[in-house]
Amino acid sequence: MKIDMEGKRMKLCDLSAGHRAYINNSSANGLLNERLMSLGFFPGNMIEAIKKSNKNGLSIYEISKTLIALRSEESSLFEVDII
Amino acid sequence: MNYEVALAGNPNTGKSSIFNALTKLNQHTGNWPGKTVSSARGQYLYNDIIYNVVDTPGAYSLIGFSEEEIIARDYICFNKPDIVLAVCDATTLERNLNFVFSVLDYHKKIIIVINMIDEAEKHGISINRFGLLYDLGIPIVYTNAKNNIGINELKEVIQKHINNEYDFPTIEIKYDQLTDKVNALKSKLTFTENKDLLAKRILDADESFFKSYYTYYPDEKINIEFIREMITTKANREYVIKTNYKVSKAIITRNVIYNKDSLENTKAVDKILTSKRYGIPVMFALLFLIFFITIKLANYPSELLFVSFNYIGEKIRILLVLLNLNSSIIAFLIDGVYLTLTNVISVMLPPMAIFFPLFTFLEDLGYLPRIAYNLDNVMKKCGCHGKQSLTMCMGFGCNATGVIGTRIIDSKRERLIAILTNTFVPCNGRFPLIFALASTFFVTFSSSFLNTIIPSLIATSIIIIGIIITLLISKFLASTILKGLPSTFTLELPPYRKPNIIRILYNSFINRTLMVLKRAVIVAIPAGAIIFILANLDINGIAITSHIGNFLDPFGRLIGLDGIIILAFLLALPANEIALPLMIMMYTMGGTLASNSLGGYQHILIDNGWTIFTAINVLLFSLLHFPCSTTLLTIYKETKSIKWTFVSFILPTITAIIVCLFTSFIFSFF
Repeated sequence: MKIDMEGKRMKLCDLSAGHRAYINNSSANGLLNERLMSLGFFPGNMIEAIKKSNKNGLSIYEISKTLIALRSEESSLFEVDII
Repeated sequence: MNYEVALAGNPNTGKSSIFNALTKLNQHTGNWPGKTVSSARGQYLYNDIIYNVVDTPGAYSLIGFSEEEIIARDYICFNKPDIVLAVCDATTLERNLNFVFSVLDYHKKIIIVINMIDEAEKHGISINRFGLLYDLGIPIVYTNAKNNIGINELKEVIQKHINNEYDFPTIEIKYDQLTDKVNALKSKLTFTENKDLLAKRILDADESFFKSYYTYYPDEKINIEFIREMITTKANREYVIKTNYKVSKAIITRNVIYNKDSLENTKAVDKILTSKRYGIPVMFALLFLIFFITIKLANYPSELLFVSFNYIGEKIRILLVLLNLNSSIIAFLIDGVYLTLTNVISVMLPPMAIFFPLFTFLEDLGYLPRIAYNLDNVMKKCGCHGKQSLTMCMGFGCNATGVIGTRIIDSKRERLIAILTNTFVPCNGRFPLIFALASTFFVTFSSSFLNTIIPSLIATSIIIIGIIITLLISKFLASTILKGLPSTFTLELPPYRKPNIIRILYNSFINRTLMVLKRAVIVAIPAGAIIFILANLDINGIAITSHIGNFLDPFGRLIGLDGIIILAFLLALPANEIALPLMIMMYTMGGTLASNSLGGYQHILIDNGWTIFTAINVLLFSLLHFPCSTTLLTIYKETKSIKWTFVSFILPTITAIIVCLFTSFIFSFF
């Protein structure tokens, strides 16, 4: 299952729990982008989905050894490549 | 000679524990230059030199995203402290180094303080300190501030670094792709100072920086607009951050070994505490547990205080009689001032001394962000910001603190919603009333088991009602006068940490309990005096308090209370904690507080027509009514608007009246 997904590009909000990916592209802008980048959300950094929630909930990601919760509005701004 | 030391760092790195460990009790709050925002300051003496320590707000970056970040940036950049302590957490060093690099942009003289070094060992993280020092060229000190470890070394390194005793070259990060652009911009800037920095910030197009820059260097007006047009900001910033992380990753790969997943335990605990099914029930269970312990334990010291204070009061009375003092002055001093004061202390001190440490325990454990996580869904539906639940948690301690805490909410609209509804979370000033009424009026069962848990259930329900009202009013505000799009939201879930019990007991006693007590005492003394005079002066044979009480009575009755209760709440505007003692005092005419226990309180209340329904309405009114004067003043300071300060007074008051009208209508059927 995991192998099939390798290299597949998708939105971060679609990355399922337990999967790791590299951030490829971010469409966040301005100060939101600044905040997200300083938390580690910039192209090239590795991210792992720890916990996925439904559309309205917060999902938890591990990035740069920290746990960050994002709403789907924010996580849909990133494109990732599954490892 | 004295020096200025600034503390800076990411949130959750234990900055304030370093601040406390350095300055001990020599702390005070000042204001940031040019701002009404308060700052924590303190000082210490080391080798006969005074070091003034300033704690800047926790920030993820020094680009002006939120007010707190602007404050931190402006202080470090423009006020030029002698040294900056960049506080880092060993478990999140990679991200923390990125912050260190952004500080280096503004200030070259820094020390890296790697705090919570004990956590690092526990999580199997080993750091090659000398390698790190070699790579960064920045002095590094290990601390465990909670246990006072490494603090003396830190003081020594601060002194040495200020005296230029370290001569190793500080790391300079090369942003090759930007060099040309920076140089091109530099050639267009006419003045001499800060060229590099200005050019970089122009590349970032960080507007807040230029706002601050103009305030500090009013002569150096530059037209940046034409320069900015040529710039693709996002790519530049991405490049800078990427480079910072690349350098920090390389340094960490060389010098830090992670023997295991340091977040393993946190993730396992979070499986339960943030789970969809158990998250919210566990949250309320914890709240219930805290109330249960508080109510259960507070009764005994409370009775003891009542009895001892009464005993001492009688002895003082005898002494005053022996001194031949006028009997009405004695009554004024003992029955008015002394008894009000000691009653406030007896009712307040024990529950606070138990509640605060328990709550601080959850805070130090790292549980509060999980509350924000669990409540985000419902908060979002009601148009509030996800971090509003954090400011609500602060409101438990003090609503004024909660209002100040709303600074973490970047959107002005959502911040106003959080400010206006903060009072629906009962603060420490109102807990004693809740505890006192819950543990007397609701213990009428034959089963002692029920009598033990019902009061805590009542207290928990009051909180839940407060949360529901908060959500309803927020939703109302967000769909009427404060309409707008929901703003963005990121929430860090810091690793769980083992709290230090002794430090919790010490801190919550010194910083919270004693402070709250001081405030109550300051208000209780004049309030006791005024009430005593009003209750003993009469017009046409009826005491003035009764006149006012009678006047307010029809309105009070309408909402299931009475005139005296309304008067007590009005008089308790400066400090909610005195509301209940004031009611008792006014009921026991002539101003004598004849009660010597909580049970005695209940008898007085019942004698004055209270039923269990009155108790419920008083609980609700106390939960929902106008905030205290300190909170109102804070709201004015934070919003700088008389209009919003007025709304924050009238909105809860109307809510309280409507809810009490509704409940007394329901109760009228019984």
